[in-house]
Order: sequence, then C-alpha cells, then structure tokens
Amino acid sequence: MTALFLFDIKRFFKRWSTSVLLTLIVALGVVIGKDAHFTISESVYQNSPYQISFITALFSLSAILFSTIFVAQHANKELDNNFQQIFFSTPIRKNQFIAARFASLLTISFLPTLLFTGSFLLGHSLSATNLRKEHVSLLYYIQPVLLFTFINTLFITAVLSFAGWISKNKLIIYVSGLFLYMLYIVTLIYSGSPLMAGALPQSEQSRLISAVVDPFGMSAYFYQTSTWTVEQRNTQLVSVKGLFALNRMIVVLVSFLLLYISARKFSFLKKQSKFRSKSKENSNENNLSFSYKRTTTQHHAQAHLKALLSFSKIHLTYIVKSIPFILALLYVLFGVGMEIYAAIEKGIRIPQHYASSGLMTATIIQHFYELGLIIVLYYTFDIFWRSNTVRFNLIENSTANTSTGYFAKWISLILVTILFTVALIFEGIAFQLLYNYPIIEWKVYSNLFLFVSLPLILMSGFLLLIKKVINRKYVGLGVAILFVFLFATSIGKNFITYPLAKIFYGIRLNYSDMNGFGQYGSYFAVGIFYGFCCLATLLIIYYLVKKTNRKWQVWMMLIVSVSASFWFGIKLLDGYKPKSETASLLAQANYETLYRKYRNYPQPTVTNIITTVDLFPEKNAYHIKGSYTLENKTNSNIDTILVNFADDFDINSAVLRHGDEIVTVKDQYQVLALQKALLPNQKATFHFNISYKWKAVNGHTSFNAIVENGSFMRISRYYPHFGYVLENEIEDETIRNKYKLGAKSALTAFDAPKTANNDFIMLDMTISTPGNQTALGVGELTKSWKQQNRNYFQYKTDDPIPFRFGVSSAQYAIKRETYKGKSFEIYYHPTHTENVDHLLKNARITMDYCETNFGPYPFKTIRFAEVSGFTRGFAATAYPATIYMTEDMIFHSNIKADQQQDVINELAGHELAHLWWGNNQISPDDRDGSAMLTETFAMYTEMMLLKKMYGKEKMLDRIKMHLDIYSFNKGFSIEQPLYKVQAGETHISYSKGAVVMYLLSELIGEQKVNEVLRSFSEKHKFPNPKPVSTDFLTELYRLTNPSVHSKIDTLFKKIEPLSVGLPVIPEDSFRQ
Amino acid sequence: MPNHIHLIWKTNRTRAGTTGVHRILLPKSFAMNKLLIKNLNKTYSNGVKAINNISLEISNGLFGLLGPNGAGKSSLMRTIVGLQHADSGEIIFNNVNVVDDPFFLKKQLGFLPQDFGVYPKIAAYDLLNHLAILKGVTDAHERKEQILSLLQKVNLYAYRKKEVHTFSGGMKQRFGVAQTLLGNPKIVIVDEPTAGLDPEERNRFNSLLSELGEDIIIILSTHLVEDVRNLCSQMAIINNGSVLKQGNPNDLIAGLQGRIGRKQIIKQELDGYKRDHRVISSQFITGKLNIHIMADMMPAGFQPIDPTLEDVYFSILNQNSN
Repeated sequence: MTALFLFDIKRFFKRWSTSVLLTLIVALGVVIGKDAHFTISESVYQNSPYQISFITALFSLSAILFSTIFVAQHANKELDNNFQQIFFSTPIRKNQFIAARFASLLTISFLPTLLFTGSFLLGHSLSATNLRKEHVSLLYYIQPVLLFTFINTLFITAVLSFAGWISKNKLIIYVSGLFLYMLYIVTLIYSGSPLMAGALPQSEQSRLISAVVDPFGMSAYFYQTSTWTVEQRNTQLVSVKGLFALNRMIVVLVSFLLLYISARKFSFLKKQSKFRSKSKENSNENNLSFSYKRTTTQHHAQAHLKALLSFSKIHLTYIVKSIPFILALLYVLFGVGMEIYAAIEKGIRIPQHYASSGLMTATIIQHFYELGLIIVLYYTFDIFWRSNTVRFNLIENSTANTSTGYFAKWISLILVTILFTVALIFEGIAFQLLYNYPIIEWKVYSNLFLFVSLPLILMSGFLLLIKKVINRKYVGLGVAILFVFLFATSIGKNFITYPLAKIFYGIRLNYSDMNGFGQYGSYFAVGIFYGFCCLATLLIIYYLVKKTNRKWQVWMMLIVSVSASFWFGIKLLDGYKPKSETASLLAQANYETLYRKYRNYPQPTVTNIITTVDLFPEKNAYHIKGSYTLENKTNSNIDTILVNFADDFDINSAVLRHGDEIVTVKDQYQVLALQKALLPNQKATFHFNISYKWKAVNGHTSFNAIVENGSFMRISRYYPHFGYVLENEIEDETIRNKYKLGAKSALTAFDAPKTANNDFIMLDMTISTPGNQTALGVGELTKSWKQQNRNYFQYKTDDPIPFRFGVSSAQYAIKRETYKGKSFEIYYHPTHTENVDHLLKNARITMDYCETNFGPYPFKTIRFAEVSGFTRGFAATAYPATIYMTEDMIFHSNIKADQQQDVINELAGHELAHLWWGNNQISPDDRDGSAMLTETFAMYTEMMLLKKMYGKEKMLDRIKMHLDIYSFNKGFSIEQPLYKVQAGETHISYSKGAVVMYLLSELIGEQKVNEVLRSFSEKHKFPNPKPVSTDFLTELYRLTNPSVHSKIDTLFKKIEPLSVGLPVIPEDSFRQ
Repeated sequence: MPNHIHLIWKTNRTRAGTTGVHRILLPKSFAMNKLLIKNLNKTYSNGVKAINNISLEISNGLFGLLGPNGAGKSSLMRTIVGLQHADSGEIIFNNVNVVDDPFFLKKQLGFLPQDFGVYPKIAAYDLLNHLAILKGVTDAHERKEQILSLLQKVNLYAYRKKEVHTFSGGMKQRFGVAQTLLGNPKIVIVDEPTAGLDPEERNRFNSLLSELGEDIIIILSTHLVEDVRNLCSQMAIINNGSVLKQGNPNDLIAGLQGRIGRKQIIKQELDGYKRDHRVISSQFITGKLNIHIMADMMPAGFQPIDPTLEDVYFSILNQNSN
C-alpha cells in the first residue's frame, strides 16, 4: 500500500507542471494578501487568532478547486489510460488501492491549499498595519490549519473521490466539485459571517442549524465566537467543544463513511458504453441507390464563406451538445440567480426591492461578467485546439478552404456568448414574474448586450488571436489566462490604471430608473469600439506578416483601422485626470506640511451667501457664482487668510475685497496676506466664479453627481472655505509616519469648553436648470421663473442655517399638500408612485408629533426629493426644509412584501426628526457624543412614531432587530458608552441608541422623555453654544426622580449588556 | 495538337502469367496526373531524419509505398499533403510546385491519415457535409448526392444519422475512406487504410480503390505486402527515410527469379544458417520453421521456389540492413 502511495506522490512531484503550479500559487497568494487590505475591524489585530482562523477557514474554499482538478485527473488514472486491465490483474486488494489512492489525493490537494493559505497570510502580514507585536504563537496558525484546512480538505476529497469511484466518470467529478462550491456559497450566507450580507445577522434558529450542518465548519465557528469581545478575539483560540466539536466530528465521520462505501462498491472494470451493434435497420433504405459522381469544386470567396458557416455550425453543435456547456449554463443560472435573490431581498434591515428590469440587468452585469470571462477562456481554448485534440486536424487541414478558421471560431464564440446572455435575460424575466413585478422593459435588458456580450465577444477575439500567434497549446493558454487576469478582473485592476487598457473592466453600477446607466453607457461603448479597432489592426498586421501576397486593399484597411483606433482612443481619454493613491496621499501630506500652522490662526467667518448655481445636466457640468459676506468674529486681528477650493473645479475668478484692498485668488489653496488687517467685527466680501464638469472616465463621485436626471450635490462642500481644513489630513498612522507628519490634529476634546454657535449663514441661492427639470435647494422657495428655456428657482432662508446645503435637479412629478399652514411637497420620479401617499401621511403624523412634543417646525415648507441611484452612501439625508432620498434604497421599495416593514417611516419619522435633532436647531460640534444628540434622538422619534402608527408590538420587533445589530457588531471595536459615542460607530449611535431610548421610555414614560427633550432643545438650540451630550443628561437628571438616576447612568454612561423585555413599568410612577 | 491521348497500362500478371499491353484512345479530359518528388528531406527536431533525399515519380494508377513501421511512410504522406514542411526538395504536382502553393494540391486531394479522430456529437452525414464544403463542393444538391452515394459505397448509409464518435473501429475507417473521395480528387493518398478491417471489409475496400485508380493517382502506403501485390502497378520500398527500391512489382519479382530457395529447419539451427547464408526471412508453417535464402547459386538442401513480392520485400530490407 505504501508503494502505491509513494508512486503516486513521486509522479506528482516529478512533473514540471507541479512546480509551476505551486510557484504560481505562492506568488498569487502573496500578491493578493498584500493588496487585499483584508481586515475585520480596526481594533482586532490582523494577526490575532480570530483573524488568522477566519482567513484560514475562508481559504479552505480553495481546496474545492484543487481537489476537483486533482481527483478528476488522478482518481481513476488507470481506467482513463486504459491500463486498468493490467493494473488490477495484479494482487492488489480494493481496500489497499482505495486507501493508498485516497491518501495521495488528499496529500496533493492539501498541499496547494495549505500553500495558498500560508502565502496569503504571509502577504497579508507584510502589508498589515495593525499587528500584534508580542506573543504571536505558532498555535494561532496550526490550530486553524488542522481544524479547518485539513478537515475540510479531507471532506472535500472524500466526496469527490467517492463520486469518482462510484461513477468512474470525470464529468461527474467536476459536477460534484461544482456542487460543493455552491454548497459553500449557500452555507456562507447562513453562517453568520461578519463579511456576508452587510453584517446583518440571520435568525438564531438558522444559525444553530447551520452550525451543526455546515460541512466547512464556518457556521459553527461564527456561532461560537459571535458574542466575543475584542479582547477575546485578540487572544483566544476557538475552543474545541460544544457545537463546533460536534460539527468537526460529524464531518470527519462522514468522510470516512464515504471512503468505506467507496471501498465496498468499487469495481475494477469500466462500464461498457460504446455503440457496437450491427445494423438492425431495415434494408428498405438501401433501395434508393445513389451513383457516385465527381463534382466540381470552387475556391472563390463565396466558397470560403460557406466554409466559414459550416465551421461555425460544427463548432456550435458539439459545444451545445456537450456536458460542460450544460454544466456551465446551470452554474451560471444558479450563481446569478442567487445574486438576484440577494439583490431583491436585501436582508432584514432594508425592505425588498422591486424586481424591476433595471435591478435584474444591473445584477446580471455585475455578477455574470467574470463568470463569462471564465467561460470564454475555456471555450476559446477548447474550440481552437479541438480539431487537434480529437485528431481530426489531419483530415480537416488537408482540405482547401480552411483559411477562415479564425473567424469561424469567433462566430461560434459569439453565438455561445449570446446564448448565455439570452438565457440570463429569461432568468431575469422569470424572477420578475415570480416577484410579481411584470413590467418588462426590453430596452433595459438590451443593455446586457452592450455591457456583457460585446466585451466578451471582443475578449474572445483577442484570445483567439493570442492562441493563433503563439500556436502552442499550453503556453497559449497561460498567456490567455494572464491577459484576462490583467485586463479584465478586479485584481488586475490594481496593476492597470490607464483607461485605454481598462476597456475590459466590467461596469459595477446599479441601474437607475431615473438615469439609466448615465454617461457610462456611451463611454463604455466608445471603449468597446476602440477595442474592436485595435483588434482589427492587430489582425491585419498578423496577416501582413504571415502571408506573402500583400494586396494593397489590406494596407488600406490597416490605415483605416489604425486611424479609427486613434480616434476612439482620444474620445475615451477626453478629460481624463489620472488619480493614483500615492499622488493623492502626497497631496494630502503637502497640504498638511504647508498649512497646518494656520490651524490656530484667526480666520473670518462666512455669515452671508448670495449665490447662483447654473446646472447643465445634459453636459454633466455646472457653474457656481457666489458672494460671501465675511465677518471677523474672533477677538484678534486677521491679517492672514487661508482660502481652500475643492478638487477638480476650475477657478474662473476669485477676489477678496476688504475696504479698498482687492486680493485675487488663483490657486486651489492660497494664503492671502492682508495689508490692512481685518479687525474684530469688521466685514469683508469674497466673490468667486467656479465651474465643474464630470467625465465618466474619471469614475464615480457620489455626492457630486451631476447627471442627466436626478442630480444631487452636497454642494456646500464644494464652495470655498477658509482656514485649515482638518479633513484633509491623512488618517492612517503608518502612512503618516512615512511622510514624517507626526500626530494628527486632535478633535475637540470631550471636556473642552463649549464652542460658540456663530458660524451659521443666511443663504440666498438661485438655481437654474434646463426647461424640463425642477431644481430644489434648501430653505423657502421665494421665486421661480422661466427664461430662454431654462427654469430658475430662488431659495432663501428666513433664519440662519449651518454652512451645509445641497441641490438636486430632475424631471420630477410633484405632489403637494397644505396641512396646518405648511406646504408638504414630494418630488419624485414619475414611475415611483407607490409610496408617495404613504410618505405624505407619515410626514403629517411626524410633523404633528414633533411640533407637539419638541417645538415648532422652523420652516413653512417640507420637501422630500428623490435623487438618482448614482448617489450612494445614504438612504436619505436631511437639509433645512428639504430631505433628499436616493431612489434605490428606501423610497422605491416594496413595503407590502412579506415582512411588512414600513421603512417609509424611516424617511418620514427619522429624517424629519433631524430638522429638530440636527440642522439649524440642535447643532453639536465634532466631539465625542455628538451623534447621540442627532442620530439617537432621531431614532427615538422614529421608534415612537412606529409605535403610534402600528402599535407597540411592531416597534418592539424593530427594537429587537436593532439590539441584534448592536450585539453583532460590538465585538469588533473597543466600545464607548453612548454619551461618548464616536463618529463612525453607527451600531452604537443608531442601534444601541434606539434600544437605550426605548428602555428609558419604559423607565420614565414617553411623555417624560419628550418633556426632557423639549427642555433640552429650548435651552441648547441655536443660537446657544453648541450642545454637548452631558447637557441632555443634565436635563434628564433634573426632570426625573432621583431613584431612577442610577438606571439612567447604566443606560447612558456604562457598557453593560442590554436586554429588551424589562417589565413594563407604569408610566405615572416616576413622574416628578 | 492531338485531341486524344494514349493511355497505356499493363494488367497485373496473373498466376497463369500473361501480360498484355492495351492501348486505348481516350478523349483529352482523362488527363494524366503527375506527381514529382525531387530530393525531399525532412529532419525532426529530435534529430530523427524521417525523409532522406527521396525522389519519386508517380502518375495515374495505384502506387504502393511499402515499408516497415517507422520507415517514414507517414512522414512522407504528411509532407506531400502539406501538413508539415520539408526541409529541402521539391514536390511538383501537374507542373505546379506545391511546396510554394500547397493549396493547389489541397484543392484536388483526398487524404486518409493513418490514425484520425472526429468531432464529438456530430452525425456521419453532417461531418461529411462539412468536409465536402471545405473541399469546395458548393452546390448543395451535388453535395448531397455525392455524400449519400459515398455512404452507400462504404456501406454506412444506414448509419448516416449516427454520431461518428460512437462508431466502431471498422466503421470509422470506412467513414475515413468515404471522406477521401469527396469533391473531385485527382490525387488520393491513403495511409494504412486496411488497418482494423476484417477480411471482408478489406476486400470491399480494395475493389473500391481499384475501381477509382484508373484516372487518378492513388498512393497506398502500407506494410501489408499482399495489398500492394493485389492492387498496385508501381511500388517503392522505403525504410529509414530512404527509397530502397522502386519499380513495377512484376519486374521486381522477375528480378529474383531463380535466386530464392526454401528449407525447413529446427529453431536451434537458425543462427547457424544466418551466419552461413543470406537468410531473408523465416516463418512458421504448420508449426515448423522454414527459412528463405537468397543466393545466385542455390546450395544443397534448399528447394528453389518462385519468388513472391514478400521475398522481394524482405530481400531489399535485408540488403539494406547489411
């Protein structure tokens, strides 16, 4: 038995392809490890046992790939090479054979997996920034390798060998490998992995079942560690007991069981399958007699064309009838289908999306493209070498009309690509019908041909050319794989940054009902045309080099294709601004080096803005003209002013006027020296004219999205600002050290004295937009008019607002309603009508509640405006009098679907509440705890409104969900108590906050909480100094009975486990 | 210019032994095809000299290329057909140098390689259709007729809709023969065509070939002496890449007349006889070992026999290896 094992192993290592493979794996692992920036969270060390185990478990997936290939190649080696009759006529016993063969298969599957995992970990530790310095025990690595890599490889190899030995069919092995992969993906979704489903937990029950059943052990692992703290993750190894141990034991036992069955059922001979019977057909058919006659043969162009078509037909026939094709189709439909399901269902926090054609199309584009590349790679290889592989080339190449081989193969590949595309379109339609949204937009689906089929077709053309030029089977394949890897995958994106070489890089965009794919469509099309022209050029050059008779027509074609390539290439690069990470880091470092010293210089405050914004959505451009009134609100003289303009804007003119002095500004950052200082309380003015144009080649800009329909800009960010801009500093400490920058500027300390609230502005903004669009700003709309086929809107604020305002513009449908003297307006995309009335109703209820309980609404209007999905990063955002909502997160969602989640309430309740808790009433500074005063209170309002509209049960469901979110995420970072919550910790400010406020309302009653909030608001809103979280707590203590103060302390100032389900304490027992 | 040509051929010599010279006047459409190979050389990258300065002149009729395994027959075939390039030398078909213009030959070629495969999942009729189109048979009706007639001829008509890759060895070989005759071949090259065929199938194949061999060139490459004996009017014996002997089979046999003797011996004596005489072959007949020797004067104990083509073959090979 050892002889058998050693023979297999020796053979494997002797092959040069093994060394190449292992080297490639190591190289790939290190490169990916370095570039992946894989990190669970900032507080968990990147070489902590938790992270190492996580990575190891994840990478055991690669065992599926390696094991499938090796088992398919080697499990039935004797049979495949027709050696079995000799081999098995020796005195080898079945058990010996199975054991030895399995051992060798396990070894040669385990080794590359181990190497891959190890080299990834190595690469990862080379680039990781957050490393534990001491006590990195070898056990951190050995234990997960044994528990995950080894046991999973054992299981995978056992399953595949079992399939191979029972069926004796290579294709069954490949199918089994495919199914294992699918199984892995499915279990990963239910495993409760922190990386999946946007960190939203699955239900307890499903996690329990997964923990036992998941053969890869990841669910059990996450189940055990879900409640761990950061400290535990940094020090503790997973303990081999409980469900985790049970799971691992089951997996090992199942593996051995499969081996046992294989040994019992293994037979030495192969199955008979060849067709051998002599004809049983009736001889009637032979009555027709044909006489053999020689025929004339043609070799003109038309004959070659016929040959071309015949080739294509033959290739297509054997491709479509073959099992790999069926497999590939099934796998694609399964994989993309899962993604579509995920895109619709979206987990528990966000409601179901409508299964629109746009959603289907975008999901297919995002998830099929890379699969399509693999399919193209496989089939170009297969088609190109097929004639040789089956040894038909001897006959085929002895005929005369074979010159069209390249194009024939390309046509077959084109047809295969289109077949897949069409199959996916039908799958999309099936989902649409399944989810009861039968509005089928064929034009939208036709985008698939542009974004998926065309690049794949172009890629097949290039790959065929590569194989033709190299003309050696495996070298050609290697180069083809490299080509695809570099030019079309997300990993290659790191190496190739120049847009001309990025034409194959798939588009990663969602379809916007308002704006389609925007400029990306035509940009992508230009890229593809450019690619085709390049391919034509290369083909012609190849032809000219190879053939001896060079007709002048060919030279003409060459000139045409070269000039076309140039033309398209130039179009593609128009407006390109190269962005490299190092360049932008360098710019940040320079900014800090040059300007940090101005941090503590007194700077003027902008008090008044009069501005015109001219939007040109059809050109993706806009102009801003503005005039600031500046005032010195400090106690010192100002003689040096640092002016900052935003990136990517053209500064047409900018001028500072102080008395008689006029200072011109030309640079993005400029230090102005005033000859006459600006004395305290003195005023100056600043006038500027800037413009911006967006080009698809430069990529996405979510908050500066000037698109054809549904534009949204957080435009105040792009106005000039004065003084040192803290946000320009580099955050990462290691990078800071590289540029020798020292420590970051500190944010405002928690205990620092309160900041004066003196930086609000009065805004007078006129927005113009094309005649078929409506533009929205902030504040009250005072005037609107039409001029030269453009619409003008003037927005003014009656009272000061923070220097924060935004603009949107689209072809809106409008619904207006006056309620209690205020105008409620919803601006929406005409086909998104489903939730409009519901939103209005919720808005009315919210308005009533907030005015009753917190104070008057500071404006006469409340607007909800939908913006295109090109803006990403939020579901809604509140500005003075205007709330902007993105089309694809909440507003246009299916709230009647199964879970009955009324997330419209998030828009109405939560965002509208921000007009009290945030914006121009409660406006905290940047210290810790500020998010409590805005987000937590908005969450509270949202929950109370939910209770009011749907009852306490529904609200409790939601509270429990937030508790889950909080519990799930808190173990990944060092936790601060709620009153000191840091800016990015949304699981605390939103979710924990919601739970805490609910518990508070249970403790002292909703009415009392509202009383405290109202009092807090009156005392601390603008123009009082900027509030701090302790201000709220002060009010809370003041207005409640001392007996509950310790509980209040626990809720807000401590970190103790929360549970929902405290006994309901009657509301009146704690009234003061 | 005469508007007819003389076609002269000799019938095969029968056992009864008369040769006849027949002269016939044929219209010019039955032109004489000619293949000239001059000083052809090919060495493979592993150093093996597969074709060593071969020169041949072949015209209409069946030409037998006889040689053992590894002699260079298949290499020669593939080079003529244009599947591989010669290092040096000329191949001229009907006054056109096909080394420079391989398509000229391919347009008029039928080729049956020694060992070939087929695309999977394609029916016999469809694959023949594909090859016919590739050969330039553009008229659909003509094509269909020709394919069906060929299928009948090779007795595969009943299986025309079955997938070729499921055929047994003999059926596949018959398929190969059928495709050779698609189009309008003026030169047909068949490499070991009867390998894997049972005797009945082999007979059918031979009669098909001889039927066709009248106005086109057929080069039959084989190691079966009897096929050459039965079919070919011209032949060459080839080994180690070189042509050892060339000519008409009858003439070659006549050349050995009176110089071949046979004796039955016991196995242990073989080495002794090999030392003393020119043993050209040894074989078992009804279990007893018989040897053939070549000698101008027949020594005692040896029975003189009428030489066969086999004797010619072995004697040439034997000569070459000495």
